[in-house]
Amino acid sequence: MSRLPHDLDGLPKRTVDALGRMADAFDAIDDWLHRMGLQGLQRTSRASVDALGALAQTAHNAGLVSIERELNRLGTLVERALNRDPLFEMQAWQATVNRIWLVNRRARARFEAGELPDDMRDLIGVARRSYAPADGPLDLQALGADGWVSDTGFVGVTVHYMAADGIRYEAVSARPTMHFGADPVRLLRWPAHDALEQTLGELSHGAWRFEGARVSADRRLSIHKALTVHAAPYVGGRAYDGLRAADWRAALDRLRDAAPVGDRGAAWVYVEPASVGPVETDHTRGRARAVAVDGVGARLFVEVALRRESNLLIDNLERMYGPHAGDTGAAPPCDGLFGRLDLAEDGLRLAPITGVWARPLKLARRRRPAHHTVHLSLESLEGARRA
Amino acid sequence: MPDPRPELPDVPEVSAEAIRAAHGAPDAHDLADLAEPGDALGRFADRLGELLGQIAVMGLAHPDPDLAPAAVELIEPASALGLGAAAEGLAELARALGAIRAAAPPGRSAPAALTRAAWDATQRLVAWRRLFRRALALQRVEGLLARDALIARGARPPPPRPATASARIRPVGLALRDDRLTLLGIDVDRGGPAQIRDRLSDHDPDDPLGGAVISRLFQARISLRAVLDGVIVFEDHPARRARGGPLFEPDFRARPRLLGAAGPLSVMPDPVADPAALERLRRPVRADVRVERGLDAPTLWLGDGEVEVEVERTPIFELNLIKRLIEASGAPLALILGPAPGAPRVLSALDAGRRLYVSHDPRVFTVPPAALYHRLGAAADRMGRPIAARFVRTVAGLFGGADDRALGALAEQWRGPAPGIGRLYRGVLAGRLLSIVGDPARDAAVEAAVDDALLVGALPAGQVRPAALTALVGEPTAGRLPGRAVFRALWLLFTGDPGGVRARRGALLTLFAARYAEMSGAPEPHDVAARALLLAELSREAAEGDADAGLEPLSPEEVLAPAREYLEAHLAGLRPAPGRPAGPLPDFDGLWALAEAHRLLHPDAEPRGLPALGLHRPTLAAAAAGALLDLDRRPLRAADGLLCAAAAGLEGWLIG
Repeated sequence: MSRLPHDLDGLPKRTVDALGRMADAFDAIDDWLHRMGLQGLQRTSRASVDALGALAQTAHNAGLVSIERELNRLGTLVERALNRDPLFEMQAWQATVNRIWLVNRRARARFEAGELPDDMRDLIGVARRSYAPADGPLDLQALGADGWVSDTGFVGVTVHYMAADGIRYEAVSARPTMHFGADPVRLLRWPAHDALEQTLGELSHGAWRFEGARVSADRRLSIHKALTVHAAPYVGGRAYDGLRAADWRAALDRLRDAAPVGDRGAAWVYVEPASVGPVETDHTRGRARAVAVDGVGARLFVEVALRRESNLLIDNLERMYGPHAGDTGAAPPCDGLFGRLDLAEDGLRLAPITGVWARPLKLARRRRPAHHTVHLSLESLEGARRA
Repeated sequence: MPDPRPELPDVPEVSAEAIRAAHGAPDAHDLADLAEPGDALGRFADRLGELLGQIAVMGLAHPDPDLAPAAVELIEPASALGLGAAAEGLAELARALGAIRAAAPPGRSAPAALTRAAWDATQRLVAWRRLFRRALALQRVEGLLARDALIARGARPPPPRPATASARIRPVGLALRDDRLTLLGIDVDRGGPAQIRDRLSDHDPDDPLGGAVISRLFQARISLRAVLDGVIVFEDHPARRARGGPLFEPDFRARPRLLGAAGPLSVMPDPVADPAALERLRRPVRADVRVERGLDAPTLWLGDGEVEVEVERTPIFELNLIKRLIEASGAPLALILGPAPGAPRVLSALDAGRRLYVSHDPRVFTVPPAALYHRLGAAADRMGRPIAARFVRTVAGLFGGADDRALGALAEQWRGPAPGIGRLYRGVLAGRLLSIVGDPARDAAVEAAVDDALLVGALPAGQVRPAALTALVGEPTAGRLPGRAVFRALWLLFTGDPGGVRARRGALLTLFAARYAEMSGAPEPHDVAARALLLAELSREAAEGDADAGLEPLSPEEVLAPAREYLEAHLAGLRPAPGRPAGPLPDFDGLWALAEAHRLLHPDAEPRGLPALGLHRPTLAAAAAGALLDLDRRPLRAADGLLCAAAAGLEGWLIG
């Protein structure tokens, strides 16, 4: 173990072993990246996918969680490249490789400076979030919710909440697609946890008091057995104040503040467009888009990738904004959109997850009461009307 | 995700400087120029992207001969644009590519050190480009937004907003149906009527003024009582017109403020004298009424006349009318009535200058403790049954605010045995209420009486002499031991020493087999409670397991399940359910028996006993108030009613 730069005296054997695995993993990752750099994307094959899987396992065993995740992502990209999938993006490939290269170098540098794995969690990540009890009950109002299907075989719903102190929280319910199918809408109808009487759908609207809450460092709520949930005061549009961008210039500033670096930088925003044009579907680029205009006439693209799980979202956008806005099943356009903002090649791009109506909206297919919010990837606006 | 900046410390600064160098301090037109696709910075980033893309696809093992010159070609524009880091990176990459080509002619591999240097140079440039693209994209988007704004020339009109109003409203009436609250008020500044609608949650529908509720209108947890006593201030709040005044409802963006307690309201509707006017109300009116006893429920008479007034009666209003009768003041009550689909709705009442929300506040017209003590005590004095009278005095002392000395004296009176199951039961119950601990003489009498009751209770009718039965029960009895006495004997047994229960298992089994194995029809509450207790005990014996036979003992939950289910089936009929009103309550003694059986069968639950029965509280409180109204005739029933109401947490609805 003399190759380790650390002072090993007094360190538990488990830590010493972990350091050894980490040193080996740095070399293995570096070697693989180098080999991949030599052969180039054009010479990748099924064997590369297997090699990536093995390397991800090596990273996992070494506790290099963020690298492991990037390697898994790279594996998906390689699969897409091999399958000539139109969703393959060369820039995403380059950026993912670059992130692995950067993290591996940075982590190795800190390792060689004598840092232990626990000191490097900010860089190497943690396999499972650790949750700590919140100081007291949390009064949270649901801002929005989105359904998703991951490349790693999970279907889930993420509910976004806002606390009175302006801190945004998330609660995630995820299930393996192998057993639960790939339709996140179904998750809404199930209790958020066996011990809770509220369904995830109920918890995704209105305001709730979470007692016995446990929260991770990145503000994710744990939905666990000891959690109890009661109604809390609904603060209406004030919940969005901290995320509100009055116009697209302000939205851009939010983006600058939220993610100054990195090509995946995105910001959560709430916007109230002056108008939104009809939805246009572009199969070549695999996206559906509508142009939202702010009060001074600037444009922002409300954009959704064409994926199976986005069908309902796109239908909902079309019901609000057209081209089928006047048809049967059309819905009143929302007053505001909550979603994730990032940069497209030709402007600002908002991936909307929830529409917000100042006058509550009654959904046709649900018996539940009217709400101010409709989660666009999870709830149908067909036949929706103002309450 | 990692920030590439530590890897390339000068990149963002260089990028920003380059952008500034190209455009100075840009105004809207400059920004708009930057948005053009032909922008030099953008073109450079694209060309660099193409170079790096080629390397990513083709690899570095045998780089294309054009790659190094392509990298060299980009150095000059990078320098010209002020992108020093990019120029250095490109130079490094070009050198590395050239070295590989020199060291690795076709058919040979370059040394790893060379290819590693090229790979690292490539990745540094990729990282630089990611940063630069980001900075440029942000700037470009700013330019696009500026261009859009120039083209649009000026602001667009904001979307239409709903009509708003500002007002200070003093509530004068309240109507609550499910979670929908309507407050009727008076505009403090204009004097006209106003309506406020709200949606409540987390509220007690039987006692909405008793605690905090969540208000959609105020977007906060509020005290409804504070709202009714205060002034509600609306500022630019969306409003409609209804019934000649503004109508305010919960809004997504606006919420009212609440000013503190307001003084008495000088504005008051004129009283109506004509009952016909109440039939088609269009605005709130005042009706001065007398409350009198009726056949089934209190009746309301208009003024001094003989015209009965029909109003919408909530269960709480019924309860309050009974309590008003207990006051026996005879003073008229001023009801503020509002229009409603059926009979006029009672919005509030005025009594001695106080505004009372008689339809929804169960805490009005309470009986003062001193008056209760006096009246119950006087009624007890007139009773012929000393033990029952002592029990009534005990309840009067407990709820009438008697001091410790008086309660201590009462406790002393309860010491020692008294003949008969009924008296022993009252004695033990009073002892528990007064916290009497240890009474060996009475305990011995209880044991003997319980044994007798278990034996006699199992015998069919006619097999016991009436005199013996009367002596056991403590009051004239013939035929068979009544269910009331059986329950009381079981209660004395089960609330006493648990060892005593085990010792009497044989007798309990006999009692169950002879009396409760099969029950049909509608059993009396005491029989239900007794059967539930016996079921629990006999299940326990059957569930002890048999190691020889390989039978595991059952858990306490499994043991108690049959008895709980049996009791629950009978309690369900007493509870209100959606679309079905609550069934009639049994007499208070029977209700107490059911509650005690529930308490004994749920030793670890909270709440348990009466509060856990889920009874309709206004109905229970009204029954207890009715018993108090009749306390001169039936003081023991009044005491039992008070005991039940207090056990259900309703003491504050009746006494205060």
